[in-house]
Amino acid sequence: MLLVTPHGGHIREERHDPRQNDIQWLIDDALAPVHAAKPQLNEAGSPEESTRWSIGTLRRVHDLIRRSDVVHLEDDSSFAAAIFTLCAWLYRRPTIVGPSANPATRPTLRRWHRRVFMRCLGGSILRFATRVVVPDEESRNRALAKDVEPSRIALIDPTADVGAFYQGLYGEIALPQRSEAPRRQLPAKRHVRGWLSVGVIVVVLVGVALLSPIRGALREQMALSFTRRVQAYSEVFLPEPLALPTKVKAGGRIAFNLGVHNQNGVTITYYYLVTESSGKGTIGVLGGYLRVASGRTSEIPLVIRARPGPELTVRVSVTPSNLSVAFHVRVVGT
Amino acid sequence: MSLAGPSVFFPALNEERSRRSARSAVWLFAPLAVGGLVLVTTGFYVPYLTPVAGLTCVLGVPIYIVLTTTEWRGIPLRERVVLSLSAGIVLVLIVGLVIDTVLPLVGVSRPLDRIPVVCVTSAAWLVLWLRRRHKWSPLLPNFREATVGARDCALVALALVTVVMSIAGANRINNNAGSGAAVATQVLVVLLLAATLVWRDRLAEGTAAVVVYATGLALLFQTSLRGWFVTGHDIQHEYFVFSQTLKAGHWSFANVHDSYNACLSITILPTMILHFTGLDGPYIYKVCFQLLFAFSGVIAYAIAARLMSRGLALVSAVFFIAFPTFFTDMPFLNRQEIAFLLCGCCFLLFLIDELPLHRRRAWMTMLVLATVVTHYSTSYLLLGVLAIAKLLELANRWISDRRHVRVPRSPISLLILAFACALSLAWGSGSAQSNRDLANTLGSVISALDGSAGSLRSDAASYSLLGVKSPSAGQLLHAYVDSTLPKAPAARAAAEKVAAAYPPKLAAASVLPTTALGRALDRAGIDVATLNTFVRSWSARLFQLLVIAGLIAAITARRRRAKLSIDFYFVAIGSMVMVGLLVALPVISVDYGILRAFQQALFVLAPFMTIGCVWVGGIVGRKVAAIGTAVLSLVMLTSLVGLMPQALGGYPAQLTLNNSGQYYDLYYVSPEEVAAAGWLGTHAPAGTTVSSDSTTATILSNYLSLYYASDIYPTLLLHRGSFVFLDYAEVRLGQTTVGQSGTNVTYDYPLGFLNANRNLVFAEPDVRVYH
Repeated sequence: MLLVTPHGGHIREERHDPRQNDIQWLIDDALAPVHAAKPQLNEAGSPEESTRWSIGTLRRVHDLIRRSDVVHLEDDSSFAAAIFTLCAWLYRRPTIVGPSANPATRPTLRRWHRRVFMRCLGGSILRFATRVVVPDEESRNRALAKDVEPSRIALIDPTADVGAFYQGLYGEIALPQRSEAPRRQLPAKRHVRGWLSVGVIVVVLVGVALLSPIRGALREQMALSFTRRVQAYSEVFLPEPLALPTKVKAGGRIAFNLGVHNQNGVTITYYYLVTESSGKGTIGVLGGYLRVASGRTSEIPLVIRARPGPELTVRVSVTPSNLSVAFHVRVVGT
Repeated sequence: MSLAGPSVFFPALNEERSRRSARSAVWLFAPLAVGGLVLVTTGFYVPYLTPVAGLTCVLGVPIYIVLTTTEWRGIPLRERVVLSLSAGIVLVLIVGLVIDTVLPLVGVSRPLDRIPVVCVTSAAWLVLWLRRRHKWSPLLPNFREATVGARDCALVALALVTVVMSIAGANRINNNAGSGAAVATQVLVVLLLAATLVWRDRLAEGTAAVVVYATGLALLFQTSLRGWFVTGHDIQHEYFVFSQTLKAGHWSFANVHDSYNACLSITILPTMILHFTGLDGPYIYKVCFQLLFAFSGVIAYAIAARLMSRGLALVSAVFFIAFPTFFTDMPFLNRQEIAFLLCGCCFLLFLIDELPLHRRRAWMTMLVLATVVTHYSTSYLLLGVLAIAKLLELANRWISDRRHVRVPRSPISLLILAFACALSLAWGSGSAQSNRDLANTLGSVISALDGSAGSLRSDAASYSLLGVKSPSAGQLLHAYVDSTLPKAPAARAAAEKVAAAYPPKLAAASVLPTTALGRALDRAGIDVATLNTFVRSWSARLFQLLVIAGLIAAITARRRRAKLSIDFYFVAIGSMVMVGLLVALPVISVDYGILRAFQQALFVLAPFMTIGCVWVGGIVGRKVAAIGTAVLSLVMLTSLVGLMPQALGGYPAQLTLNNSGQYYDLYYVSPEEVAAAGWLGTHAPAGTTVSSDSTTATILSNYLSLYYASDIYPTLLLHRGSFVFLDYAEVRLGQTTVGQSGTNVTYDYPLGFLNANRNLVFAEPDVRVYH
């Protein structure tokens, strides 16, 4: 039988003699190196065990529990116990939680630490355990208060042979044979069913989140991820490009249309400015406003007078889109 | 007839268990099938449901029938799936071609409209099922007893998440919402493959294939889903010939007189898928074709798995999908995607010893002929490879006969080759352009060999180990400007004057800004730009070196030689020779992309790359070599998909991760461009010519039926009368790109010329139209 425990050293020294039974000690010092690495004194001035957790430590614990038959936890109120319980759950290993003092009364625990263990972890560790060993009635009541089934609670007599007691307990709960240990593999059908259930849950959750008015941000992010956001822009154009004047007399009328299309999602009032450029410089000759509803196109007829110059460039600038269109006119009679 | 009645549908079931499985499967899927059929036949479009039902009806059904009614003789499921997939595609093509040919004879003038396609195809599948149902056997006979481990579940779930993330990532960049999801997708792809490599021996048989499929699909979606319209190079014209088929309701060589139209994979196949799925045209290419092409990674894995352990086979598949052409160009080459699937299955057939020779040859005949009508260039290369392999096989047989040693026959025969060549010529004569292209290419090759032609090569040739030199960008730009000058003296003088006034200038390459990580490396003395360029260029050379090492190792090491099929080795030699020819001979490299040819060859050569890497690394120990090969493949993937350049900066942006970079500037179609094309269609009279750069001209042809002059250099715009369409690259960046001798040359576009000489009649933030 392979036994694993975070504080195996104590168990071996105080309660068992490995020469007298067939228990192989896998881990009597699983956490010993890290304990030794970080000694600190408790309130009474004596060294206290403190575990420095790392990926390496976790891997070591995980590996050892995978190889074990029984996981023996000395208490239900330490972080190590929580980690060992998690690994034991992962590999479906039976666990024994040994007698421990009520965390509420342990002076070395910090307040938040105590609260966490009292509220959550301690209860979970006890509830998960295959057997909970208690030294007295007070501890038994505390376990019962944590919803531990009475049949799983074992009262240990302080005067009895502790080693024999535990050995009997190990034999009682250990897995019959390694080959018969429950495998982590499930039928494909159950997996398919499981994943379909997960898929349905996810779809429902996402659907609820999307429909819920308070989840605007999530909805927006989902929309950005899976739908097309309409791009906002404006178009400015000369609606009759082939009918633009090419030659006018100086001072003559230049008539043309201006078109603006608004693709911005809101109504916009555009300001247009018509300028004429020749060799003598650029001047503004006409300006005005054009209101265009979202998704609509508006056209406006414009008329200006041709300034003298052999070549004239008429430019219409439209703000706020910062777009412009332009055409060239030859001015005769200058 | 009862739908669930086993006596009708499953008469050949002997075991009670299989019968129960089949019956429960029918009860499970019958309502779904009926619902799907209702959606497809009525044409009622429900988002997601109708496309899934339609795709199942048009492709899923024939694939399922082939998969479950063929005697596979115990070949692995992944091989059965990819062979059935290719057979399904061929069946759809055959049915489409029959519809297109026969229905007009009975008075249906538009045979490729929805009603004829849906009715005849459904009837064809029913007939196929009724003829083959007696051979039916369950797909997973031991499904009830099958167990799946937690790791398998985790990997498959992560694979699904990766695919969904890739869709979200591409859409988010399209919506200008950042590239975080796209980067996360690529990280997930690398992690997923790494985890599969680490757990390779603890996974179920099919998990690695699922992971390869999902990672390939995620990478393909990252490219194909960029843009809300048709995005990419060749895909623009592919979409054009597809839309012409759709518009005509009939496919014929006369629809469009070019070689693209001869490819049934982009005419009949998408038309049939569209009628069943009801998807928008562009999304047939963007989604459905990628769903199919992602199986090419599985084919590469299946081929490698026949030659080596599962872990190394996975490494080979990583090499295949890490080659940049796979995810940057293939989503834009849809005709070639389908042809690659068929081609990969041809190569796989060389290794499937379980099937008897006559059946392998039957499969080979079907696949080779289908490749010919699917994509001309792929079929030319495939036929070249197979011809070389056959020649080597004949030589080997001659030597063996002299030694009185019996050599097994390969699945390729001279008859199949002759038949395929004849079909290729006959099909090419239907589309005169294909044969003309082939004749021109061969003529140019001969001219180049005797020295009478220039020695222009594609810039991709510069990656080769042969050390061929490609002309510099400056030389190409000057050659381009010279080619735009008219020959008539007077016109030439005017054009030269314009060219002198607006001298051509090469555009500076734009790169991503250096990131914090990149700056840290810079401070440590490592120039990130040099590092990225070094990794990229040496990746290309490393691919070739490893292939050569693998070919040597495979034939020298006795242990490997025993495992290797000699016919397959000849195919590898043939592939290497064909790629070498493309690199060594000018003109071919221009007409047919070297990188695409190498991607095609990687079906066969990727396992040899792995063998080569392990062989070379074997100096330091076999285990270290295997681990090193896996790590190398993942590092190359990280760099080549763009993750490393994105993390460091100092390298041109990738389309999959940014709204910038060469592909974005050239091929991304924005809503503004489509709107501008719409405006032009309304305001430009029929018969007007529109001048634009060559890529924009191809894009516009999908939205406008006008004449196009695909060049906008000022010397070509001296005569007014045409509209000039400038897109994002010219308006925002002031640059344009020309394709010169297979190489893209980007230069600063002289906008001043147009502003001074043309009317600016339409303006958007990214588009201008001059007249």
